[in-house]
Amino acid sequence: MRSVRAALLGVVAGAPSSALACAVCGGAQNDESTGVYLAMTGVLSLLPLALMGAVAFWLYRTAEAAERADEAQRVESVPPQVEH
Amino acid sequence: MIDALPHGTQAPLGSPAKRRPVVPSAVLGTLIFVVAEVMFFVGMISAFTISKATALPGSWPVPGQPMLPADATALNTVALLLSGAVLVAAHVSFRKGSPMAKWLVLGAWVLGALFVGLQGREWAALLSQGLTLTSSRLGAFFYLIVGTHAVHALMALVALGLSFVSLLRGSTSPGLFFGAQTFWYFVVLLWPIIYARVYF
Repeated sequence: MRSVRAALLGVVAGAPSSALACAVCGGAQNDESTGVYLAMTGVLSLLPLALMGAVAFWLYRTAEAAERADEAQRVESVPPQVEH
Repeated sequence: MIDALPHGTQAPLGSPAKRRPVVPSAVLGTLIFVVAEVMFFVGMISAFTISKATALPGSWPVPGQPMLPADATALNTVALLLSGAVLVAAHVSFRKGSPMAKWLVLGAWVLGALFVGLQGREWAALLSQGLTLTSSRLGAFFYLIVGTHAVHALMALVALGLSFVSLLRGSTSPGLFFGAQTFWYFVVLLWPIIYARVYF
């Protein structure tokens, strides 16, 4: 039973490399077009994350800077304590 | 919108805090729109790149179709980049409260309008030479990508024009001005990528 499981696992793990699941990418005529497919897939997958991350980071930094400016102004507006 | 307390104020205990926006809503809204538009353009450029890379040998550039005028478009590109630089100067001027800001916005607008005008002239020449939306894959991609960018440039010119008019009247809200700027920077920065990918 164990050997059957191992064989099945081997088939499942090894099959995708030869399945060419994506007919478009698998059908690329040469290395250059395969490279272009991969590059564009990478760009389209990562760019939205990078853009959202950049906007979120910028908002965080802007809010933090505003808070610091508020804090500095608050400290300046407090009158000095006079000791009796 | 991200809110913070107004400068120099402290919220009294138990009372609702008066808040002011850290980023103008117009800027944040434009930024979200720009992110969506970046993906729209990247999708089209990606399709173009794959289509070009998988073209059969000898079929790209398309035989019998005019070549895209990369050299002449360099002038348009310079005009647009210059317009972005002038708008940065306008931004700095506006921050300092200088009256020069409105004239710099007008300068950026004129350079932007020059870009759109030169692009229109280029299109007329290409159409007369037989490159149309249906004549080839290059034509289809060219008019789709460059045309969509031109539509965005026109929209941004309208926004910049409104900013100029309100600056002239002295009734500009920073939201309108910064929102229009954000959109114009998107149009300016996107163009060199389109130019490098599509024209060469």
